[in-house]
Amino acid sequence: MRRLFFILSFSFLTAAFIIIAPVSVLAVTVGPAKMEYRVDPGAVVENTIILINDSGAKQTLWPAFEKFTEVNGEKKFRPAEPTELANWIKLPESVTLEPAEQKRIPFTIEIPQKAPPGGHFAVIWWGTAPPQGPGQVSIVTRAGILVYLQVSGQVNESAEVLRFSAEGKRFFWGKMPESFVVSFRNSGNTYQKPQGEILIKNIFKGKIVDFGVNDVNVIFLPDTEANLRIAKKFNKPPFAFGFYKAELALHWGEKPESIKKSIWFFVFPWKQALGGIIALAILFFGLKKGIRKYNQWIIKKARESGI
Amino acid sequence: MKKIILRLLEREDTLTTIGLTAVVLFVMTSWFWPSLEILITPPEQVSAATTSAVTVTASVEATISCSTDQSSSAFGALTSSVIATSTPNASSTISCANAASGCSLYVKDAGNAVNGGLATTSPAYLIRSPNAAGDATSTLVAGTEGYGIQAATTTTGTGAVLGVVARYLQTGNTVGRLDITNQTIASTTATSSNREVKITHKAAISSVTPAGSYSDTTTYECSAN
Repeated sequence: MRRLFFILSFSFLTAAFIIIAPVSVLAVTVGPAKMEYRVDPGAVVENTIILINDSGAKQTLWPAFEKFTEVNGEKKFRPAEPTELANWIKLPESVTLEPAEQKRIPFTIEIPQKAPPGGHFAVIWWGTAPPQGPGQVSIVTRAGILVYLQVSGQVNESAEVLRFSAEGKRFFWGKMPESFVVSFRNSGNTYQKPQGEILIKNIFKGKIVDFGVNDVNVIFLPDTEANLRIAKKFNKPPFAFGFYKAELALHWGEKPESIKKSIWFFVFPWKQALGGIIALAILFFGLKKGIRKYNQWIIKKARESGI
Repeated sequence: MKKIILRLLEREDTLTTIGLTAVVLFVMTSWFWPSLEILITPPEQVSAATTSAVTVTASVEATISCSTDQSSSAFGALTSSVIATSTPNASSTISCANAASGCSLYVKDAGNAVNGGLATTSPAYLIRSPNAAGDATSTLVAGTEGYGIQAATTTTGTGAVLGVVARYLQTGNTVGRLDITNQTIASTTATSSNREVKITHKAAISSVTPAGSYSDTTTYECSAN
């Protein structure tokens, strides 16, 4: 009887495990998500990356390097195009991880003396070899680390702000605008991470509110342009009425000076104003009628008393 | 004095002047209010304990996690009378921890190394994705060659939601084209955890599609934006 109970319990637990156990075939975590380096020719960078096997089985992961560019703000990986970084980055050929194991993998980037100045970009994919499954469609999963490397020398950091406007490009607002758009173009030969702030000032140059620009570290590759959306959710929106100036100060690259642009807009809080006008109208006409009645009364009183 | 006040109150334009003055005062107060508000807002108080300090440092790295619950999916024997859906459907999950700019899930397929599709080497033939013309999307019809995928998000996960691109956000028998270079399936604009995309593979053949063993390899890739 005890033996039967044991067998039944074991069977139940096994079944429960099969039902509950995650079915991820490949699950991998890599970090850091992005790596940025500004280096001189001949330099050697030493660092580590993290690899975590999130699946329930032992896995061997292989790195693969691909050059990447951006088209209309979307990353395009170019496996067919050679990337210098594939030769410069030294990583183990493969890494084997037990289930749930996490490893820090050391790597080096050896920049040649004759490395071309400017930006070099690659993604390091970590994935398993293509599975030989029974189906017609085999599925491969990979997670990538983006590498942005700038080699010093004749680096061209040309870039410009193409457009700065409040979201929706409107001049009249019913309340303080909560988002702005900065259209940025990188025309240099290296990557740029433009950052700065937008200050909103009233006509007396008093600061009303500020917005951080590119707090999420969006990177622009050479010959790309894209919009940065700068938004702020006000817990308590500042009361605004009249003309306001939004001043953008943006800096990028090694140059310390900022590029400044500004726009004017007009805020008319029509809901509050309508309420105010109605209140004033009631006050005005009520006062007018009241004063008239009071006048009539006091004149009547004065006449009665013979003044 | 009393007479002067009475005379003034009798005049209609005096009342108009009072009204206009009130409006001007309202407008001026509105302009100045933000500045006044700054002046009258008390500074935030910060209290600090004066016990001995222990410095604890920690670094938080942005990481990207990518997983798929299947390693393969099968259509079985394709016939020209039906639009086939491969089984099982694949589910890709993506997490981008501390990656403030969010992350993206991409797809590409092997095809015949020139175009995406279901390929066979003997004879060399490709059921092009999503149709013979290679359009971005196509509604599959039984008896006409086509192959592609549909993607849909689920409520699984936390943080920023995944937005599926229009090409793959399809239902019914409409599918998006698979290319041999990566295409974005879905992306987030901020950090997220375990956000899931369900992928459905569909295919159709014609009566003149050469017999053979057709296959494809689809690769799902995750990276930071």
